Amino acid sequence: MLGFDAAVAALGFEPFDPVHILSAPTWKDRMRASWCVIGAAERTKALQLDYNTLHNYWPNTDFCSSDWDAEVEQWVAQPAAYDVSCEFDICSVVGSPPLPKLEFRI
Amino acid sequence: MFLSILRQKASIGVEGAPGKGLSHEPMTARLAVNVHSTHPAQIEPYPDRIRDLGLATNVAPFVSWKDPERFEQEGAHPMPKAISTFRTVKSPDGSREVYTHAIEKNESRLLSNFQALGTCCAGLMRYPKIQQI
Repeated sequence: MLGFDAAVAALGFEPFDPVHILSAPTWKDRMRASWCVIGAAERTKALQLDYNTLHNYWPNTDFCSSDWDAEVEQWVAQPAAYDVSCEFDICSVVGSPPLPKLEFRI
Repeated sequence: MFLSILRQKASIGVEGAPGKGLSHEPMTARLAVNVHSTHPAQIEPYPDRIRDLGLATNVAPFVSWKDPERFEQEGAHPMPKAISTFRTVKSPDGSREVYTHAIEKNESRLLSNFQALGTCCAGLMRYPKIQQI
């Protein structure tokens, strides 16, 4: 079993969620994609954690800003959100199979 | 399926993670989380976590690291020295809670799935120079 998608699947995510995250071209897009797939309850939980005492594994705390949700929703609504070169060169290895559209889950 | 293809590609065998030499091991990384765990305090020790960050040892071999400096410029950080493990605990009602374990403090805390995904992605960053197949 592949480590990354297995770990993500073990968290209860859907099969293509790790693909969305891995194929996100930048760290910021990776944050945005993750923010989309976790759903509203987990977004709330993420905002409630105290990052002064708990390590934030993301590059920054942009997700804590009040306009982050709107920014991500606007981003995910763009038809070619991933149409840039990826830092993780996965698609060039396996091609670009069709993926379900990334959605901002409730 | 996309991930199946990835696994097939990965099974070819590529240069392994730093310090592990060539790796032609099948992609059977142990999961870093155990959904059947009953207590968040049952955390695997740090070395196991590093290995189980098979995130790195299993994904990175076919992840090309095009521009590591760019990641640093964007503020990405390597896994912290005081690495935390995380573990999923399945409740009787089927819901899952994720806990992180701060090694240096020997304590477990409830973690958001968002941060758990962050640990997964951060784990990918540990082996930036491994080339794709």
